[in-house]
Amino acid sequence: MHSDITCSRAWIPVLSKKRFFMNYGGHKLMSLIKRVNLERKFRFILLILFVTLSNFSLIRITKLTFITEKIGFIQPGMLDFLVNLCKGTTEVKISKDTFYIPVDPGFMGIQFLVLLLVSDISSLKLRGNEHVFLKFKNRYEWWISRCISIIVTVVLSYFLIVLECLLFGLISGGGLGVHDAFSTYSLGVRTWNMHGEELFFITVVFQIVFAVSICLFQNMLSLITGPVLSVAAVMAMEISSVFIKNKWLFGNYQMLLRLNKFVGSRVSLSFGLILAVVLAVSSVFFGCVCVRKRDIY
Amino acid sequence: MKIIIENYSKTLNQSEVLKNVNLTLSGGKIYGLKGKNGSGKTMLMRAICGLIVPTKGSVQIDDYVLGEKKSFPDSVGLLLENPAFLKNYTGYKNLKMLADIQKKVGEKEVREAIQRVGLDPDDKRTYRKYSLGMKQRLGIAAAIMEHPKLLILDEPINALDEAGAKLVRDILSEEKSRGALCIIACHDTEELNYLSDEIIEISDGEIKKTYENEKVGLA
Repeated sequence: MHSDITCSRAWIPVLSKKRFFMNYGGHKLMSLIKRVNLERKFRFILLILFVTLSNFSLIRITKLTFITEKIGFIQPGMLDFLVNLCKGTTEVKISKDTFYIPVDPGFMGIQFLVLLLVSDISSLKLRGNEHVFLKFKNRYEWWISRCISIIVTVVLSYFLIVLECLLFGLISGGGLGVHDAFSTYSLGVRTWNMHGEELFFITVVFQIVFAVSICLFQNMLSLITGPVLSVAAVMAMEISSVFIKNKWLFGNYQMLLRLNKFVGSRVSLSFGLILAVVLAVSSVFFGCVCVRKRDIY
Repeated sequence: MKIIIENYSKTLNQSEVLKNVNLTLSGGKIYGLKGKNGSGKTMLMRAICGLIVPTKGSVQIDDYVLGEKKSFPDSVGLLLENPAFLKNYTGYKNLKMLADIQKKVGEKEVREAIQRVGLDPDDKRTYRKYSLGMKQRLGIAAAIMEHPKLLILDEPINALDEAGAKLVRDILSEEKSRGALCIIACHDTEELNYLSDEIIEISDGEIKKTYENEKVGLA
């Protein structure tokens, strides 16, 4: 009997928290998240297909002779797959003065698909679908809910990426960790002095932070320029960061090969994180200002 | 419900789409907006909903002014131009998802609203496969399902057959007797005269004339 009372009391804070959440517009938020993600189910499928292809290509690499000669036959683990997806690209020196930057389709593809997942919210919600807009008490509430739904969508997409890499790691027999020799020789990312947890943070959590801030920025921009132009502008920023090494270009922080954690004298991850947080917060703030004066027609 | 529109002006791309509009609208009546294309009927409807921000003037609904504490009316049902629904979902699922945002009404009311416009809530066809008339009916169902105090319908009989037009008349009559404030715009002058208690003539963004309709068709 005593244990029953303790048990039911333990649930009280949880229930009241839930009630508090629902009373203060939680259901509006949950409904918007559900709606947004249902609308994008085919894009999620596209993202899964893309990650699958990318992971398959990594398994193929392991069969190349020059790698197996150097490191023996190693199946990539979950973190190897994640490193592969966000390693990005850096210049390859041909001679003393000449170099070229190979384009990394994996990195560009992920950035584009994640951006695509959140990109057209404005066109759907601002043009034509006034029903959704009018269900909110005020414009700020709508904008904040929209920002949260963007964050949830980005986190969900990265969750799917991690899940898929996990499955690939387990099925291929590579396990969950990273194989330093493999990542160094076949991917070009030196992971020798790094713990698995640290690498997971850099390849997943930090990537989510950067993706969220870019997506929030794109959405804020879409309030001014419209969705198509804003996606084009953000993609142009991402593509130019592949070819231009500049600490103000965001894509540089999303590529492991450009981070000072892996290679010396490159962009600083901590500076990038500060930049990401500043961009995200200012995007939400300016979005509030924009949406206050925005006409819906 | 009472709506007071005071000195409302709206300029878009250097052209004044609404010019110094002054109107007082009360609940339990149907107001008909009359005017040619581009005269500002839809813009006035958007202004009343708070979807556009005034260049000058204000819209007061009961005791609050739109754009101050609240951006939108508390209780509003709206059908403007082409209603946008999720194409891969059935009419019922679309409306249920909209109803879930505010949770004012449940499954039962959503089903009732769909039946009220002559559609089947158990119809498995997705919105994509709906005919133009069915889409219009679903749009009307979305507008009325939460029993709003303010009902705004822009061209409600567009794409509807004779039975559909009669249905709209019945719905408006019911909503009016419930005490809702209804605003409709319609190109068909005869239909507008039949439906409205008061006609508001609008031209080039200006209210030209407001008059009580002598021959009221609806009870």
